[in-house]
Amino acid sequence: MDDKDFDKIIREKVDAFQDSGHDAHALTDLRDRLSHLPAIKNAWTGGRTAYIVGSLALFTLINFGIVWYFSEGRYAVLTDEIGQLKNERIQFISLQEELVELKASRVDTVYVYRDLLTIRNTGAAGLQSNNDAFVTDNRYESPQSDPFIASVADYGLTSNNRITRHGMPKYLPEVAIFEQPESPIKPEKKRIPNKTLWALEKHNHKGLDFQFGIEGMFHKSIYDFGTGDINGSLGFMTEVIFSPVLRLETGIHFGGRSYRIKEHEIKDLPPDFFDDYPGYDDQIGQLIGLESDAKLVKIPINLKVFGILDHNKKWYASAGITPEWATEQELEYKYALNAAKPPVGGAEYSSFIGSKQEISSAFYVATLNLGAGTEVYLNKQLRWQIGVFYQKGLSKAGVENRKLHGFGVKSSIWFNKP
Amino acid sequence: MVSVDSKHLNTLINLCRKGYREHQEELYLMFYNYAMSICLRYSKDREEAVEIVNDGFVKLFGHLDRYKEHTSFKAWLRRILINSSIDYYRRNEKHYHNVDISYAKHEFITEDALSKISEKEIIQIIRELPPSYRIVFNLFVIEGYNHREISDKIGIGVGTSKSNLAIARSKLKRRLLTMNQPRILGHG
Repeated sequence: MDDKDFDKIIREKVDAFQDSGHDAHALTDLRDRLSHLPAIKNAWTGGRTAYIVGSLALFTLINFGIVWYFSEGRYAVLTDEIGQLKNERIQFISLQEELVELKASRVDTVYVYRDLLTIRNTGAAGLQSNNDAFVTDNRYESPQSDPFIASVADYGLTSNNRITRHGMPKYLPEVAIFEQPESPIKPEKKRIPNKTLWALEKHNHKGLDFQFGIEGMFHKSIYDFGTGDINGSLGFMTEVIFSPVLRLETGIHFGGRSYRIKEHEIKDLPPDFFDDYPGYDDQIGQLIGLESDAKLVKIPINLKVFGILDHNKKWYASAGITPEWATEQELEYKYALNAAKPPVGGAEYSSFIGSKQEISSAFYVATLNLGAGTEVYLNKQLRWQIGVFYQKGLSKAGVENRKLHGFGVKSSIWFNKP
Repeated sequence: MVSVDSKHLNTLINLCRKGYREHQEELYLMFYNYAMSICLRYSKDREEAVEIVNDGFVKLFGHLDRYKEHTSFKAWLRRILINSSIDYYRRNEKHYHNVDISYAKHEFITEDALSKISEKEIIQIIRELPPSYRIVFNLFVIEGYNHREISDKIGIGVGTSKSNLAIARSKLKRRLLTMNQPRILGHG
C-alpha cells in the first residue's frame, strides 16, 4: 500500500472518529476564562439601541427646535400683521356699511323751482324731449344716471299733479314727487384668478414654515425573480416650507416589504441564485418556495415642487431618496422531499420541510423616489395630500442583496400651526 | 429535524453574539465532543485537548460577529480549532524536547490490516507521535494543507515539513504493525 492509500484510509478513520468522553473540569475552565472577558456584545447591542433611540430623539428634537425657533420669531411679526389686518378689516366693514347707507339714503324727493314746463310735443317722444329739458334745467347731471328718470316717458300726471303711468297731461306741476323704487346694493362676489392668488401667496410668504403630518402608503414591489406583495406603512412626517413652490419632506415611516418566489419562478432562476440567501441549504431537499418578510424603518427625504390648481388645491411633483433600516428580516424556505420520485397518482411531492431564517438588522440606502399628487386645503390648519410614487432601487437591499423597484399610492393629513 | 436544528442553532448563535453566558455554555456543550474529536489528534493527552478546545471557543465567542450565517458553523468551528491547535503548538514549541532523531524507513502494511484498526486506536497512535511530526501529519494528511502552507503556519522549512511527514508515516506504520501484531498478518 503506497502513502497515498495509507493517508486516505487514515483520513477516513480520523474523520469518522467521534469522541464521546466527558471532562468535568472543561466547562469550569471555560467559565473561568470567559469570566475574564468583558461582555462586549451586551454593551455593543445596548450601545446600538441607544444610538438608534438617540438618533431618533435628536432628529425629533431638531425638527421641533427648528419649528419652535422660527415660529417664535415669526409669531411676533404675524401677530402684528394680523392685528393690522383686523383693524383694516374693521375699517373696511365700517366704510362699506357707510357706503351702503349713503347709497340707500339717496335723495328720493326732487324739488322743482320752476313754475311750469311746457310740453311742446305730445306723445312719448315729445314727453321724453320735455323730460330731458326738465332734467337738465333742474341740475341733473345726466338723465341716464338715474334709471327712474330715464324711464319717465312711461309716466303720466294724475289730477293731483302726481306722475303716474298712462296719464299724459299737457303741463307739469310745480312740484312733482318721484318715488324711487327700492334698489338693493348687493356686492357681486368675484373670483380672484389663480394667477393672482399664486402671486399673492408668493408675495406674502416670509421665511421658513413647517407643517407636520401623518402619512399612510401602500406599495407594491416589483422583482425580476419573484412576486412582490402589496405592503403598507405609516409615517410621521415634517414638511419644511421654503416657499410656496418648494418644500422638503422628511420623517420616519414604519412598514414592511415582502415577496415570494414560487416554484415555477425558481425553475427559471440560475443555479447559484440562492447562494446569497442565508440559511438556504440545498442538502435538505429541492427548494420549491421562498418567502421574505422584512420589517422596515424608512426615512424618506423628498424635495417637492408645488403649483396652483385652484383657490384651495395645488399640484406637486417630488423627488428624493429613502434610506431604509431593516429591523428584522425573515426568510422562509420550503423544500420538497422525494421530489425525484413523486407518488403515483398523488401530489407531486410527498412531503415538505419549512425552514425559517431570521436575520438581524441592517441599513441600506434603498430607493430613489419620484412622485406626483395634489394638496387640498381643508381649512386654515388642515391640508390633505394624495399622490402616487415610483421607487427605483439604488443599492442592493436586504440581507440577500437584491435590487427592487415598485410603485404605490400615499395619502397624508398635514397640520399647520394656527 | 435539520430545519429545527438549523433554526435553533442560529438563534443560539445570535444569543451568544449578544454575550449571554448561559447560551455560550449551551453552544459549547453542543459542540464539545465534535471539538474534542478534532483536538485530540493534535494533543498528547486529553488535558491538552481540553485546553486547545477552550482556547478555540474563547476565540469563537470573541469573533462570532464574523461568522456568516449562510456558511456551515461546523466548518467554521473546525477551522478555528485547527488554528488554535497550531497556536498551541507554536506557543509550546520551546518546551518540547525534540530528542527523537528518527529517519523514515520503509514500512509495509496492508489495506486489510489497516482496516482492522479502530478509529479510536488510529487517534491514539497519532497522539503518540512527537509534536513536530504529529502536527505536520495532521495538517498534511487530515486537513489537506500542502508543505508550503504548513511551513508558513508553523514556521518550519518546506524540507523539514516533508521530512517530518515521512518520519510520521514511518512511525505510524511501525506502531500499527507492532500494536496489533496478533491481528495483523504482516508482510515484509
